[in-house]
Amino acid sequence: MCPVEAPDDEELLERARGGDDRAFGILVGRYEAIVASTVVGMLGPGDDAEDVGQETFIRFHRSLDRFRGESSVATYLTRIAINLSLTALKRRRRWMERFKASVLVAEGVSDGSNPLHDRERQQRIDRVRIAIDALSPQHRAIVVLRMIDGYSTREAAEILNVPQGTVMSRLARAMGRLEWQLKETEE
Amino acid sequence: MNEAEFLLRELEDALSPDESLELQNTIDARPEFAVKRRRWHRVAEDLATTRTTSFRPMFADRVLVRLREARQTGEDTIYLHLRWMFARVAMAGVGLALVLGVYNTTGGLEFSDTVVETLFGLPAPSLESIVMLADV
Repeated sequence: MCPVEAPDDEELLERARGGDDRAFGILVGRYEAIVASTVVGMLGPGDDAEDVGQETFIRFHRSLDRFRGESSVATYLTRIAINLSLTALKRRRRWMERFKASVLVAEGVSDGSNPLHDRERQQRIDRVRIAIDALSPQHRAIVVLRMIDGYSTREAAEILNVPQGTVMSRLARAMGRLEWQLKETEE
Repeated sequence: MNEAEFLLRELEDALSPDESLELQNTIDARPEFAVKRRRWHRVAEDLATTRTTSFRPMFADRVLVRLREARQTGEDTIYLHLRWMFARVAMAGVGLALVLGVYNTTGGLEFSDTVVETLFGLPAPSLESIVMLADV
């Protein structure tokens, strides 16, 4: 029996354009990690991130007819995810200003191997998330794309539609702030 | 290349062999730069550990449910109609602006001073209009 090859993106896109929801579901599964990394990096874990993640794919589905592969599916989805996250951050800031809510801290993720090590790791992640939350949305977007998602400077510039020099200068400023903040919390 | 750019390019693995050598020389010569470099590497590692690669289980199913709901409620249809209408209205608007611009430059107000004023059919400000505005 010969193994069944997984359909490539092009084929899945074509089928999804024709109304095949199963094909679109395979695409969602394939790119969930990329969208999750961007959205959770921008908003932190929680319902907000899940909602923006879903909305990213809904928008992508709506624009299937216009998507002609000028950029990769990953880049295209990341661009939608970043824009929706920036909008969600604006909404959240308005909400926080109104109700003076406390800072959201990440939920724990544990592999159950070493509780003490896990706790320390989780505390460290919480500190990093708080430091990321303190950055402006523009700086946060650059940090997420470059340092968490692993995009290159050129790709980050393409996604955010800014010059590469702007990516470098914003990232340098953001790294300086993160360095200072994480040093503060350690002391 | 400034210090920060040096470090960022190193983190991106984008330094040429010559630049790597220059970096090593700077580290050897300036201990405070070496400390800063160590801290930035630590920040980069910490940031990488926060990476999340999935939402809650069955995410794709929830997206598909939402997609079907959007279809049933007509949300998608409304969106597509609005997009269709906007494209037409925007095109008609640009066309109208062009026609008016051509009309203004060829046979419109002749007392405008600049090309922009002529294009938009704006009369040049006269002493009378200035006095009237001042009174208001």
